[in-house]
Amino acid sequence: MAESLQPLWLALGFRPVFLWSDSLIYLLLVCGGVWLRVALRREYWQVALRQVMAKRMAMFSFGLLCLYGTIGLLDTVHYRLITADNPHGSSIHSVLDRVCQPLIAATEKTYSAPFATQLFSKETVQTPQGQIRAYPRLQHAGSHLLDPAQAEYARQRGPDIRNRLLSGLGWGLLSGLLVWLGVWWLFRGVWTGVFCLLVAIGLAEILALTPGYHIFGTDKTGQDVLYITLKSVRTGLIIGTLTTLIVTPFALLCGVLAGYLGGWVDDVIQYLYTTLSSIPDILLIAAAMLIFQVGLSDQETLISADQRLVYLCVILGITSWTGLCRLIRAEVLKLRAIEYVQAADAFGVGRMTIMLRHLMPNVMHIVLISIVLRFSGLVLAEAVLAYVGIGVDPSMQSWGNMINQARLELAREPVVWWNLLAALIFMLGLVLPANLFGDAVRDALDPRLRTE
Amino acid sequence: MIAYILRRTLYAVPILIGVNLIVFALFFFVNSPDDMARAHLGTKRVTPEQIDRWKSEHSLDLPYFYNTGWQRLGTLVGTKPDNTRDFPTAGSGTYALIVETPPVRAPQASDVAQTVHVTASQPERLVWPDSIDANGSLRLDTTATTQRFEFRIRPAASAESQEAPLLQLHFTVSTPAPTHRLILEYQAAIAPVSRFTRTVFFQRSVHMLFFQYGTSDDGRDIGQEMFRRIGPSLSITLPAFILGLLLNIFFAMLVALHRGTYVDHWGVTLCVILMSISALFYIIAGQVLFAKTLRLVPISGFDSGLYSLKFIFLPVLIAVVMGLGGSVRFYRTIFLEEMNKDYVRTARAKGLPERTVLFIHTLKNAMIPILTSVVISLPFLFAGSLLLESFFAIPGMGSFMIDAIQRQDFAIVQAMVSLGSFLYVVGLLLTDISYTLVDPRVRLE
Repeated sequence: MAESLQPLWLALGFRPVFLWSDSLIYLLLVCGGVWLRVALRREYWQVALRQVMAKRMAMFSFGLLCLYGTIGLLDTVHYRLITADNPHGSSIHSVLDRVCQPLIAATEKTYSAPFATQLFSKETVQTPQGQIRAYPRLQHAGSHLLDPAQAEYARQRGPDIRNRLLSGLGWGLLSGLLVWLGVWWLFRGVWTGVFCLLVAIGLAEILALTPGYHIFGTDKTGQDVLYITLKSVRTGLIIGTLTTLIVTPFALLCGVLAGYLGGWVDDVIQYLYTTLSSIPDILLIAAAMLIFQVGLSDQETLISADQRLVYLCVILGITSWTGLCRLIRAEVLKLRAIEYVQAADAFGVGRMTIMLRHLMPNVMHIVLISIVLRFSGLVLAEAVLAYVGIGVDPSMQSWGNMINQARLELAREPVVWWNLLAALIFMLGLVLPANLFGDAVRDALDPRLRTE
Repeated sequence: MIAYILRRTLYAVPILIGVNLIVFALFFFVNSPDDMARAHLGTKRVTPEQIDRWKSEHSLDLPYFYNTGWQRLGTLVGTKPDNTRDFPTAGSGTYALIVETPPVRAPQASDVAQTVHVTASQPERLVWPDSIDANGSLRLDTTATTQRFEFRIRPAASAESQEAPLLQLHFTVSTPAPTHRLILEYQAAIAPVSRFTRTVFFQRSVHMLFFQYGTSDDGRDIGQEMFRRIGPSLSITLPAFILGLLLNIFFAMLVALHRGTYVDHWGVTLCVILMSISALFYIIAGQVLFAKTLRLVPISGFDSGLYSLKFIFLPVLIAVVMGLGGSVRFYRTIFLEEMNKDYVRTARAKGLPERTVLFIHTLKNAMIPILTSVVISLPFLFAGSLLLESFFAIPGMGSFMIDAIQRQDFAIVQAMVSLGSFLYVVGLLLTDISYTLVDPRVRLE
């Protein structure tokens, strides 16, 4: 099958690649879509949706989350370039790599500060006067500025940045207004417009500034930090979503079984989750990740890093399903005593049917709440795990790895701060909306459920 | 009450055993001792002899659960096409010949068949299985990587030849490699108890239930090392815990007092923002601001006695700030829940000022869920803080753990997991007990 399609790939010039995490994301999207279609037919979910949509803050957050999601999805579609003389294909790229091609191409020698025109460290440069130690010009930033003397372009840079900002603002306002008009039939209201404008201006400024400057600087190997943070989005999103979703079916099954059947099933399941949750999370993750390192395979870096990411999600999931299972069990215990379940029982409806038809749909709100609320914690946990050395593969771009690398440079004088700041801003930009949106979802679905 | 505590303690026993089993499975099934040895010695150019030595140094050469008494008498490594060695045996009893021939490359037609030939100083005492022919020659299956042949040595017929016979093994291999080897094992008589105690599970996991953690890879006693590190850990976690609890309750009450106003709204928003910032940021920002820029305290380090004060100031401060957002928001919901209850309405109806209602009536009742929720974290004060200790170079339990992870010291990680789960179970127990102490409505039965 794979062989027979080779002519097609050759004609197209690329061959799609499905990494483990990619496939899981597609599966997740399909499941999410199906669930949404089914759930929105029921009034309970419609009411909840309307309640969330009425909250300005939550919708703002949702918009931002969608933005992150788009970046993550672009980074999920992987392919290999195929040419006639290289039928096996190049190394794996994603669509985001293609979009960010200018950023990848703009690789410097080593660190440079945001908007800098020179490298961060001095180098020996050959000049007509002989060898001197100086800060060399960057190859891909500020090179459009005239370069007669050092003082000259330093003076040019300020107005240049201002011009770019202004043009970015103009384009942003224009495109923001267009988008607002485009979505007018869907979301009316002033705040939609404000959101559209803000996002459009932000994007336009980045587009206006990136060809000329490294707006977040460059890292140790000279890569543009903006590119690395964008690549990290996918890692963060995967850790935040896949982790809970991988184990959700299991937690749901165990919770419903324990709550409805009771007796020895309940005892066994309770024992299982008490025992598992007795092992402190970070210790269990550490032990499991150490073991994974031992059995590491020698495949292409991206593939093995991706396997490690999925494995990390599974481990994180194992540590987090117990809480969800406990909540579901408690809810089922409550539901079991309610008339409609007893009525079904009295009509002679089978146990299986009661569990599937009457209990599972009615605990779904707990599942949703726990997925949304756990998300931000998991994104934050990724950074900590990377620091401890048990996180995602060091070769994979993630905010944790960025912070971890930047930490080593803090002792330098002057401080290399931009790496760290970019990672923290982007992380905050994901985690804060996730928290706000999660709170709104919880308030809409089950305000009595305590956070903690 | 005592009966209740006893019963809860007994509940904890199967959980601890379960944890031990899970940890054991994680460390020894997913990942065999051979893998661990390779992780330590490096994957390339490591001979089976080195692995065996590493395993016996860490007492991992024992069987997992049940010791049948098989002991290794010696090995013969296939480094030449023909390898011969004499093995002194232990007298009459059951023996096993184990042949390890990992496939180095695909077998070819020109290959010499791999065989084992056995001769003995007293051939009449040997009892062969069917797979070995009358001359003591054995043709090996080329596909199997490990093959095992058991044979017996009979007791001597006459008294003069009572001494143990000598076996001479002759190992012919097609592709000489140090991974090809012949192992001679002898089944020793073993006491019924030692069949269970002389196992990896007993030595590693059961001992941990009784806080015997063994030695780490660098040969130090893990238990003693932990004991030394509890002090520094507590010097951070204990002040942070007390200070944090007081501050959290204070802010939560402040927000709850102004519920429904802008103070409440922005207070909660601030809490969410505080929660959304990575713990690493707090630590790095604190270090850069207080230690590097303002030079108020040293960046990292630790000292004994009163000198340690300047070292613990910043970690404690950061620990308090890190926990602020989540806790204040959580306690606020507890206070609000309590404020909607009937007794509060009664108190207000009596004409009591809002302050009295909050501080006298609500605080007391809200302390029940707050206290019981913090009790579970009490035992973990001993476990220290992973991040803070590592960043501030405090020689506590947390940095012990991080060092162990980075050095891949499985013994320490296993010990910490075991201790951590013990602390958690203790925390659960304390929670149960504290419920019954502070809330008379919780019945003991």
